[in-house]
Amino acid sequence: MNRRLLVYGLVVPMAFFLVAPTIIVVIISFSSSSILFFPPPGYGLRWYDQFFHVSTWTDAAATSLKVATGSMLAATTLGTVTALGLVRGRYPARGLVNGLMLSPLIVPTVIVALGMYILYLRAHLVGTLLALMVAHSTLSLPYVVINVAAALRTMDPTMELAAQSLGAPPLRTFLMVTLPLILPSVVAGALFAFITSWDEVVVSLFLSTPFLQTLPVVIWTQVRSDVDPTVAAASSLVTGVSLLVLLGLFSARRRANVPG
Amino acid sequence: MIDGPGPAALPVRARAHLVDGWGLLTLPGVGFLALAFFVPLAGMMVRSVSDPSPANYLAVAETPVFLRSMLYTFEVALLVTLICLVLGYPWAYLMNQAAGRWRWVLAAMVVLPLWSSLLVRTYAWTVLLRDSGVVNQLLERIHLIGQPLPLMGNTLGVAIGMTQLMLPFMVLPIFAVLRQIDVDLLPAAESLGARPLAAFVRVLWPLSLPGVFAGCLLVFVVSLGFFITPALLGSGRSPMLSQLIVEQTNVLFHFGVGSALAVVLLIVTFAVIWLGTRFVPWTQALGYGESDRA
Amino acid sequence: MRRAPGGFGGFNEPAALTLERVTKAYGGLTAVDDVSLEVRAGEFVTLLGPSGSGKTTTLRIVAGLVRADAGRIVARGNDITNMPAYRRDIGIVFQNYALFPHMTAAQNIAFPLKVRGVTSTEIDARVQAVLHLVRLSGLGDRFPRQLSGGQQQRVALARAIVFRPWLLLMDEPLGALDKKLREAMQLEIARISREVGVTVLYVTHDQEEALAMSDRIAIFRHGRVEQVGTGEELYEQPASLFVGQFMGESTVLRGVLQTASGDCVVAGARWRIRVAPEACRRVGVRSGSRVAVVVRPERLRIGPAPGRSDPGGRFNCVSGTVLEQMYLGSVRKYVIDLGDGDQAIVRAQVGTEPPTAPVRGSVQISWDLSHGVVVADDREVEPAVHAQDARSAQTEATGAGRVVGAP
Repeated sequence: MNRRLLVYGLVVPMAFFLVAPTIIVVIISFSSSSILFFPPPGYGLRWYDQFFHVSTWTDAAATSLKVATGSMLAATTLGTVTALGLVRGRYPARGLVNGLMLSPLIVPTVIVALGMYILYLRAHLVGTLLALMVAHSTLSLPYVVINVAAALRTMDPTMELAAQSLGAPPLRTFLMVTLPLILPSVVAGALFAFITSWDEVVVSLFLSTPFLQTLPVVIWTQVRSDVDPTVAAASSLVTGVSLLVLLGLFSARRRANVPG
Repeated sequence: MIDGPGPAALPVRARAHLVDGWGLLTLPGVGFLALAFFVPLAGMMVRSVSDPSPANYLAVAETPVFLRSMLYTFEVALLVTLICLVLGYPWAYLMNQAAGRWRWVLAAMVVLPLWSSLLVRTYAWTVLLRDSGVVNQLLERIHLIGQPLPLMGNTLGVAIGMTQLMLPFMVLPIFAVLRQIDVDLLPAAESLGARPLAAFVRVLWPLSLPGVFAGCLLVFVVSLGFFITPALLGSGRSPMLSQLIVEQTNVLFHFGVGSALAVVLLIVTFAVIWLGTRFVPWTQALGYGESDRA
Repeated sequence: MRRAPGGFGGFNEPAALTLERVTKAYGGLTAVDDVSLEVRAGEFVTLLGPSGSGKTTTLRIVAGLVRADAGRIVARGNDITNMPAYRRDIGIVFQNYALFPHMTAAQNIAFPLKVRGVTSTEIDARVQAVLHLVRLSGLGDRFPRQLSGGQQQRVALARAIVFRPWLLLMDEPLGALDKKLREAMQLEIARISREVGVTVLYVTHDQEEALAMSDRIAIFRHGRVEQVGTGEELYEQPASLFVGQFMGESTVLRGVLQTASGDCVVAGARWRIRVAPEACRRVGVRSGSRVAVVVRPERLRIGPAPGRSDPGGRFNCVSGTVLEQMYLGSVRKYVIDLGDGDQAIVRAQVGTEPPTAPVRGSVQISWDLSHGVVVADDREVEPAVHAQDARSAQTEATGAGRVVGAP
């Protein structure tokens, strides 16, 4: 009885609270009106059409894709190698090094953004694709390390010993035995990295210029200047991609949990 | 074999190296972070005392706007933490009571929003909360109000937006700890004569405290440094610290002062984390005693 | 030795392995302490000892998976101490099999061949041949998780021998199997290694397993090798009390060695027993030192010394009380209390038992003094308790009863 009360009195409104806003935006993105009426007077793909035909949006989308893909590849490779070293290697100050690798997660993004901005300004790198990719890789690196390190720790270390005893030198052992076994976690880390870059706003704000912006940056400027629902369409597309990646992550994680 | 040769001088191998082959693999990652992350932070700290001088910190300490902002930041973070606790604890409790599929549904509802971009979710709130927004439209249409309610551009809007974003960070740690609590404890307490409420207060609540603490710490720390939501849903007149930093650097180009403010925020963040971890062992609080979280 | 005509066809000439004063310490604990051992080509040598005695660490050092702090490993005349594991050409069967879960059984077995660049046609042929050898033909396409424990075991073995290593190491491979399967696998492993003719270094804590499979056994204790020899040597002539207790059952009589006037006598609290002069001159025991006399159960007879037919006094005799009597099918086992906590174990072939040896009856036990082995007394080795003293157990019970009930 007590529980029934909680369920209806709390869960339902909260569920609504958690999910409704995004759904409403998606609905509005299909509105035929240029004013944010809800429910919309009519439906159509007008704003999606706008999105795909205005260069500000398409350029930003292209930039976001490039930066997200690039930083995903960089962070995944770097993160996997680093995780290997962190878990299997011997080095001084283990706790400190491990903590340092995770520090981008703890420091507020505004501070990171400011620091990078100051540095890149001096190096004339503001507004370059490279700067964005490096910055996003830095933010995604901890996610990759966490995922891959976890997989390495739960993997039976005797596998690698067995491979070596059978004649495989370290690199071949890694490629033929270790990597296949940790692959689901590597993929999960890569997807995390992609999403982190795809959704990233603050650092991108600092490092963007009118000539090079990511999609979230454009959404930000449009939201503040209160323009038409193309923003809603853009937001829905951004969310759509995020959800797709999330599904991919889900199945990768599921595969990682299958006992090796 | 009993009386073998005595311990003669044996060729002893050189001492094990400090770093072995595998350990060297950490170098690229650590090096990259050093260059791409720590150097910028250091540069910012240097800037805070060199542009023009450490007097920046004096300005920070003495300007009322800055001080008020710091106080406000703490207030908002505290407010959001409390709301998240009040809403999040029952949710975690229900998740723990629920079986199989329902547990997944509850978890998904709380975790999924984490995956749509935070900017998009904040934008969604502007659509709902602005004067001509969905909520006000609805309320006016059913004649509950005559004039639009100020639902954003103030602390209320910020609180609403941030709560939605922070809830997972409160729910998950609490759930992780609740999960570890022996499922027979509450029935045992009740069999000993305790009424449900008393059993909760005296048995479940104290045992769930590590999770509560972890959740509160997490939400509080993250809220301190938040930018997007306060910037979009808050007001320019009572900014949070992060808004101030952006304003000083991107709008006014006062890099020195902006950096000083950033350093202050950084120190405060670390101070709170350090203080928090004094009281609770993190790994236990986040439920790393067992395997996966929900 | 067991060098085989090689049913497997064309084997690498198996060669000798030598461990020279190998030492390994972890922090303050010495896991392997100055171990030296020689293994001849084609031999099956078992490293036997309780958990933590250093046998597995020694094995891993030979494999190249652990680096020794001191000492050398010499294989076929070459010093391989510093050679990395993947170049040593040694096959290893791990305790938990370590089969690659993402490969089928056949792919697992093919792995060492692939790594060595063998052509795929030859790989297929050799994999099939070795699957046949371990009696798993037809199961090559299964994944490890689809195979039973015993089958996984055999895949692990197959994988370790398919590339014709000169040495095969096995680290308690049968530990996870139940008794019947274990005994069947012992025979299988012995058969396969004989057929293939490979030198084997085997680690176990089960002395019966060691006795069943090995040419020679090295007994490990606290990181040192206590004794090396054939099963028979270890059993009949243990070099230390530890070995005497570890290998099978024994009766241990502790006392002080006295070698006055050419006679060798061990004086205990309640008896004096004679030992053969050769036994007296063993390394490490001197007149006046504390020693233990070890006698195997099948060498003891229940009954008085054949006094009249023993003019030369070749028999010892002690008396005690029968604690337990067990019928074990082919033998009857007696546990006899000799007082002061000492117990004797006697095994008599069914059909040759003494006429009267009832429980709680007094008996005499005798043995030919040449069957008593003298070893240094080792206070660390606890006397094995084979049976509870029925009388003392009863006293405890009634004593307790007296406390509870009213007098």
